[in-house]
Amino acid sequence: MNDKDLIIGVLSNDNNSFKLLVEKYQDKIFRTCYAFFKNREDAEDITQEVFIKVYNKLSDFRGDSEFSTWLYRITVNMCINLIRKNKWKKLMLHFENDENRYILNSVKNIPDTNFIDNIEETQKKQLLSSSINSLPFKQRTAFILHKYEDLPQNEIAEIMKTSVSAVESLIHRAKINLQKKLINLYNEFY
Amino acid sequence: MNCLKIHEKLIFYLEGSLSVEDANAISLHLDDCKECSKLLQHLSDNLTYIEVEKKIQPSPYLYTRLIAKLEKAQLQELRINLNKRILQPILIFLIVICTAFAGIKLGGIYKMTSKKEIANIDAYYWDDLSQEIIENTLLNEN
Repeated sequence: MNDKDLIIGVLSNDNNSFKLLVEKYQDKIFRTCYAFFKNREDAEDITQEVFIKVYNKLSDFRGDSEFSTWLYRITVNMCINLIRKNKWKKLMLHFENDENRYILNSVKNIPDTNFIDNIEETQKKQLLSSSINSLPFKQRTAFILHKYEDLPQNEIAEIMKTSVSAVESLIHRAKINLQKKLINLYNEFY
Repeated sequence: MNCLKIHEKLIFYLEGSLSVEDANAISLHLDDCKECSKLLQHLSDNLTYIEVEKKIQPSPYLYTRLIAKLEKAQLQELRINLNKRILQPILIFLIVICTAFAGIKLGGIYKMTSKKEIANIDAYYWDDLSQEIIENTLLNEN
C-alpha cells in the first residue's frame, strides 16, 4: 500500500493502516531520534510521540510535500524542541565531555586485554556523540539527515524549509566543525 | 602542504570528495607524516561508527507501547472533555446558587424598616419637649 492509501485508511479509523504506516517508518524515525539523543530509551519515547502527533494531526497533512518529508519535519522539530526544553540535557553534555576525558584517560592506562574493544566502542560512541551535539542545531539537523538517513540535499532542504545551497553549506560547515572537535580531542589526549 | 592545512581537509579526503590534486597531495603527505596518519585513522574510526549507529533497531514492542500510550492519551482527553462539558457547568451553577443565597442572607441583616416606623423615629427626634425634663416639670407645675 502506498502512503496515500495508508493515510486515507488512518483517517477512516482503520487501525491496520496505522500499524502499516508505523511499521513502514518506525526505523527511520527511530534512527533520526537516536542520532539526536544517542540514547535508545529517549529515542523510542520520542518516536512514539512523533507517531501520536501524526495520528492526531494527520487531517492537517495537505499533501503539498511527500508524507515522509512531513514526518521527518515533525521528528526534527520535536527533537530540537525537546533538546531546548531539557536544560538538564545541556548539563549532561558538559558531563559527557568530562566523561570523554575520563574514558580517554582510562583507555590510555589499561593494558592490552580483550575487553578494551568494548571500552573503545564506548569511547568512539561518546566522542562522536559529544562532537555532533556540539554542532549548532541547523548544522546538526542537516548533518544527521545527510549522514544517518542518507537523504538527498533537495529533500533535506524541503524538510528544513530552506534552499539546497543553504543545506550544502550547512553540511559542509558541520563536517568542518565536527572534524575540528574530533581533532581537538585527539590532540588533547594523544 | 603543511600539517595544519592537511587537518582541515582530512574529513573530505576520507569521503573522497576532494579534487584529484588535493587528494594526491594529502596521500603524499600521509606517507611521510606519522602524526597525520594517526589522526586520519582516529577520524576514520570515529566517523565510521556512524555506520554502526545506523544499524541500531528500535524495540519490537514499539508499536504495542505506542498503541497503549495513544489509548491512554485518548482516555485522558475523554476525562478532560467530561470535566469541561458536565462537571464545570454544574460547579458554576452551584457557585452562582451559593453566591445568590449568601447575598440574600447578607441582605436580610440590613432589612429596611417600614414607613410608619420611620415616621415614629422622626417624631421622636422632632419632639424636643419630651427630651427636656426640666421644662416638663415646669409645665406640669403650671
